[in-house]
Amino acid sequence: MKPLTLSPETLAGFDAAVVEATVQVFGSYGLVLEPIDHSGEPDHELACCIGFTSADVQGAFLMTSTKTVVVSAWPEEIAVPTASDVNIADWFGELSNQVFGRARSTLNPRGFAVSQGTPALIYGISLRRSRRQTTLARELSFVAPSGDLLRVYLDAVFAKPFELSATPDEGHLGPGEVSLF
Amino acid sequence: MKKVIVVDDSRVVRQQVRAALAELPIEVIEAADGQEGEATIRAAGNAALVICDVNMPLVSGIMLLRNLKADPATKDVPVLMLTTEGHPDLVREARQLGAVGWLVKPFKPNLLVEAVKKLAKLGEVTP
Repeated sequence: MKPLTLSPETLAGFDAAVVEATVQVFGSYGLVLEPIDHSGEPDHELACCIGFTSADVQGAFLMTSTKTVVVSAWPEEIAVPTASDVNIADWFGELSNQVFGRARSTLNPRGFAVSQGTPALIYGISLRRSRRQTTLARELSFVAPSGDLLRVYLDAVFAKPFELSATPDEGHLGPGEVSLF
Repeated sequence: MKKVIVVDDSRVVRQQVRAALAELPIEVIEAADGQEGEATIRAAGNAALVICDVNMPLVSGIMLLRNLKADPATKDVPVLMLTTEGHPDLVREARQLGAVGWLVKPFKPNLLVEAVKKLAKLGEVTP
């Protein structure tokens, strides 16, 4: 696909949706994340990638952070793991899924309607991402009270010109909402 | 004791649901994906409720729902979808397939408890 340019308003709309989703999801688990400007490429211990697609869009959501951040956002209903990196990675994958799901619930009604895949997780030391090369190349950084960083990358290429609509469609269920039929 | 089956590929989410439902007089059984979930539901025989994620490997929650409703042996098992998805088309599809409800993550434990009480008909005598 040939890269297309997105307007500043649309880019700002993507940023706002991701920031709101990230802050709200982690906040619901008791961790206050503050959006910050951070141009460096920090070392990460965890990375979760969720691919998405539609007829006109191909892309990926990537969230990276440290185990400290994940443990700080552990569900209060269950005990914090002491040794299991697998459990920490599992929860990081679910947090990524919830952040992207929440961002999608904001963006889908504005015309960014994509289907997502299941999360792919990587954990280790000194993880770095490759250079961005897409039309929608957003990098958003957050800092936890511990000083640890969390970063969200949203990359996509578009097959035809795209702008987020100003007036969202109605009818989407939001986070925490329940509908019994 | 009534059986509630939780199908989610996240172990932590399954634990979270189990902990949220700990106060209820039910047996919680876990399954890690749609394929394992279908086998677990069939083995349980008389599940009072299935709580099911949508985006899962092997067999998705929507496919699991479709399989259950297509089989006379499992078509009456109530299924509550618990997912990050909230798109109306997907909710409509699940409803048309026979799901009894849709709850969007991150969930509030008290809302899940109330939904399970109602959908699993807790308070009614198990035959």
